[in-house]
Amino acid sequence: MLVKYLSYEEIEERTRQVLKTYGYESTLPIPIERLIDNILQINVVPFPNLFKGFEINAFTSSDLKTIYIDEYLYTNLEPQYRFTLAHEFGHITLHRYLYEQVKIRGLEDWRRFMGEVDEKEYRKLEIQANNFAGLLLVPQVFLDQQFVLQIRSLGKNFKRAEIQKLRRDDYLELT
Amino acid sequence: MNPKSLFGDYFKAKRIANGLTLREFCKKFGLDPGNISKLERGLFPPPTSSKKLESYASFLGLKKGTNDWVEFFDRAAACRGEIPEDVLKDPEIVKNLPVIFRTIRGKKVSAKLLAELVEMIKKT
Repeated sequence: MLVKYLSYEEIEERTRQVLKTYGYESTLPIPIERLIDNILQINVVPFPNLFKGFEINAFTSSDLKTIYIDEYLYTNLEPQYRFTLAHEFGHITLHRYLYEQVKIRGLEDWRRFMGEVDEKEYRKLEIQANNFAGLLLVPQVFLDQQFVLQIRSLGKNFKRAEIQKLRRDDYLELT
Repeated sequence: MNPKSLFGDYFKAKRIANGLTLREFCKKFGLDPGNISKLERGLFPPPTSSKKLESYASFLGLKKGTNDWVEFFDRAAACRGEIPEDVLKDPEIVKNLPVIFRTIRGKKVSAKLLAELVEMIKKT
């Protein structure tokens, strides 16, 4: 299994395409669950004890039609759930070629594949899917806007603090 | 169309037409998402109790006496004999196996745990 190199910029471009295709360019928060379940009609299936028993948060079925997700995460941990969905969607979007390449025809093929997987290549896949998830849920354009707003508001606070001779702990609370 | 998903596909299409994700739908009506997901994927047969079917139909916004209502019940009846058990057969399991997953510690899952995982997938 050889994982194709994808730069951060290439992954960002892929997330931009997704947001554009589904009309989420100016939507926050990105409705990731709706996109996967209702629009792409990929099954999102809660899997009891997936994490407790196997230390796995989620996985995508080899036919790319189902995302299995730890039931506790699904029910109780919304932010992590959203990120995990986006991460799996990252695998579906970026690594489709791999699912096609692997061609698992039976349980034996699958067991063999699992035994032969190269850890380093696996890590690359995970990093790419994590980058995809982050860039999809927090698009750069929104992050830049928020960053500028925060810096401006902090700048005002710094000025007030300077004039009023406030201590650091006090001016961080200024709004 | 796969006869096993005759009811599940219809159920899912109606839920989606109402603009609800599986999680939202189940939360709204106090249902178990694992079971409803199995129903939608054709792994559970439609309920035999007409009371339960009626409540599902109303949750999906179907109105008594409409064509949609009739179709919902027709599909349930047609589908009931097609799903003898809630366990996947081997060729179907293969489609549901993971290709990419890592444990939280970044280690490979042992052969024993993989076998257990397959058993769990059959039932989930």
